[in-house]
Amino acid sequence: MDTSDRDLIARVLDGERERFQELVRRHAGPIWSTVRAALHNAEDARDVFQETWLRAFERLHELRDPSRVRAWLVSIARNESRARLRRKGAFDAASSGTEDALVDPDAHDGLDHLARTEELGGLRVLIERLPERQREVLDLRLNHELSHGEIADALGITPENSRANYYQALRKLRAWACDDEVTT
Amino acid sequence: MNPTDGCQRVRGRMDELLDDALAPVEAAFDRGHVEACAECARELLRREALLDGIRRATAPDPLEVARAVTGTLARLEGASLAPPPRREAGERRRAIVMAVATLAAAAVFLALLESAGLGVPRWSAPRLPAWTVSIQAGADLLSGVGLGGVR
Ligand SMILES: [Zn+2]
Repeated sequence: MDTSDRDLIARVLDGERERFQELVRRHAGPIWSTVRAALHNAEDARDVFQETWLRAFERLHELRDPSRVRAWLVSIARNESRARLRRKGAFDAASSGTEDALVDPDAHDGLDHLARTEELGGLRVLIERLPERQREVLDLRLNHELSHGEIADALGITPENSRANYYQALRKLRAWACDDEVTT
Repeated sequence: MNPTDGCQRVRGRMDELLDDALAPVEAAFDRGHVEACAECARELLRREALLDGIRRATAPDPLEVARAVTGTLARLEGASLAPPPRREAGERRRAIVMAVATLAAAAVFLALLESAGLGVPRWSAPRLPAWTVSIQAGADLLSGVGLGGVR
């Protein structure tokens, strides 16, 4: 049976340093997604990914709720990515804007068209059009199965805000998919 | 079949249903409706397909992740990392043994001095002024400056 995050972290803190590797393997996905989305250069992303884990190791004793380690790691990855961007002079504080106008929740006709494998490229383009915050929430919720509470911890927002961003992103994608279908 | 009020309600919160965000009673109602309503069943499938599409369109590339992990494990291996700052069990035991040994050594030293007739000046309590403030008066004084709380 898999050791829980709580047990794993307790063991690392009790001196079984090599156990930290298990944490790296277990939570690599969301950390990679986070740094990769923030940094467009793969080399930088790999570097910041490593720095995130080094920082996490140093600060492991500060983690208050080990069952929420994934959210905690994502928040470190975001901070490290920001620090890297700031150092490069490219951090755009305005990019964290989130709320766009609501779209018609009933628009949905293009979905069948969009979800087909050959349309994934088109779906990627639409996802890119979403505000950064909504993309982050979608990724953490759908690819890494964080709850809205955990997403809230990771992004420094409220769970309600996480839900609002998530549902709004889905409504927009449905509406855009519909437009896309109409115009092609 | 024309959409009914039930359809409107179910579709209005279908994202929440798929997000496991509905109360059990609401979720059971909606699932029941979807089983009986072909239009809503179709809509549910569409939305599930969109979620699946988003996952596939945005999932991290497993090769990129593997490469990042390999680099990190190598760096962790190579780095002379200080252990996380919590005392290890062995370290704690060592600290206790050291403290007890120091006390024992001090006691033996004092006993040797005594037996050698060198004597050790007896400790005597310093003379303190007579305190006349009662515990209750002290508590009142503290609560007066916002430090109270013990009554
Ligand atoms: Zn219906």
